[in-house]
Amino acid sequence: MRWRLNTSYDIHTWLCGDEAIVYHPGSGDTHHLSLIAVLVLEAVTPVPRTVDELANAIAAVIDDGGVDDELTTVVDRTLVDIERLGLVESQQ
Amino acid sequence: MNVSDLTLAELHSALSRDGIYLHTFPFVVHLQSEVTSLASGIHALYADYEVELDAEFSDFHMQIALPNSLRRWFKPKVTFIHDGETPFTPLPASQAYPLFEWALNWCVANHVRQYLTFHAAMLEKGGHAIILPGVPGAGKSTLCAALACRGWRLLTDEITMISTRDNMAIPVPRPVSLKNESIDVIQSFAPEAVIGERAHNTAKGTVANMKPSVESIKNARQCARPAWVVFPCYRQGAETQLEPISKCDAFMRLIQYSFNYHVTGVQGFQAVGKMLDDSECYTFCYSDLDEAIALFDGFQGAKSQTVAGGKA
Repeated sequence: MRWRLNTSYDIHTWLCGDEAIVYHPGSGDTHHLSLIAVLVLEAVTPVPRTVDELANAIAAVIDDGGVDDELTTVVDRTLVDIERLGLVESQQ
Repeated sequence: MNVSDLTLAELHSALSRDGIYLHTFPFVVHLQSEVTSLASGIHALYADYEVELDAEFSDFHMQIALPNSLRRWFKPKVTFIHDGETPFTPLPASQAYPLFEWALNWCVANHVRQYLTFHAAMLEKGGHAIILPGVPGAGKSTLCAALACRGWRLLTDEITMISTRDNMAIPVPRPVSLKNESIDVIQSFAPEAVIGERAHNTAKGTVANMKPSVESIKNARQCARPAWVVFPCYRQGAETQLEPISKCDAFMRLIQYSFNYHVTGVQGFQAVGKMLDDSECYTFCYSDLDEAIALFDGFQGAKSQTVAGGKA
């Protein structure tokens, strides 16, 4: 499965410390995102990427010595969560 | 002309005929009513507000009406009429004054679109505003009344308005609504406070309103910069406790208290963010008003020093 940014809407983000608030103009909803969700959202691009690619990109940002299964699992779970919010899209 | 320039009889007569145009900054309210107790309440609590007997424009047309029937004489009830509509259930005539205040809140909450509005009290000192959002019973009005009696300028007791253009807090100073025990608490805390007639057995229990200071009305055109967002919680016997919260937590809490965030779209989202960029955010548990005021005065003092230091 590959993931890409939902480009149908211009998602607005307000960053504060390690967290963020995002506004989705399509749904009109406001969401509070954790640090990992912010990192995932920043790593996702309009070009589809796999979970492993995204986990690698995030590991490079947080500089913790590389990707492990735990990080990949967390990224995967976070992608599912933020897909539900309409922030990213999945492709088979 | 101020309301105090009219005798009670003149005010009642004007209200009964074509109504009055009351300047409750930043709104002009056209109010018509024959109810004597409402005229008394307006005369006592809006004494320092500007009033006109004829005007070409008003933001809201309000009527607090007695029934046109025998019910006018037997256990009369009063009805709030707004642009020909009656949004509320009629209430006993003894509750005419609180009905006016609730109805005006309803008008502002439901019809103001040019500002971001929140269910929150707000006060100012040194140009900086403290915003106190809270559900009914959280103790925001009691805290607001106490601060207003100790040198803070009342901006609003009930509906905080923020400009989405420049994020400034817009004053809407009106009488502070006190409920049940808080009426006596404020009366003994500030014996000089002018508190209007008590209305008993309302949907909120016993209610009464505290008159704002002359200064808060005179300076009603002076906006303030939001500097603190404090979510108060009154608990009997509780120790004064101020806890910082993350700005993201404050954001999500604050929008739950907004009347119109959901219709302001991106503009509202950005306005809340900008407001919180420059604000400190806390939860605040209290029972002792003197301690609460000392603490908030400390906030203001620190802010003044920072500003002075920055200028130097």
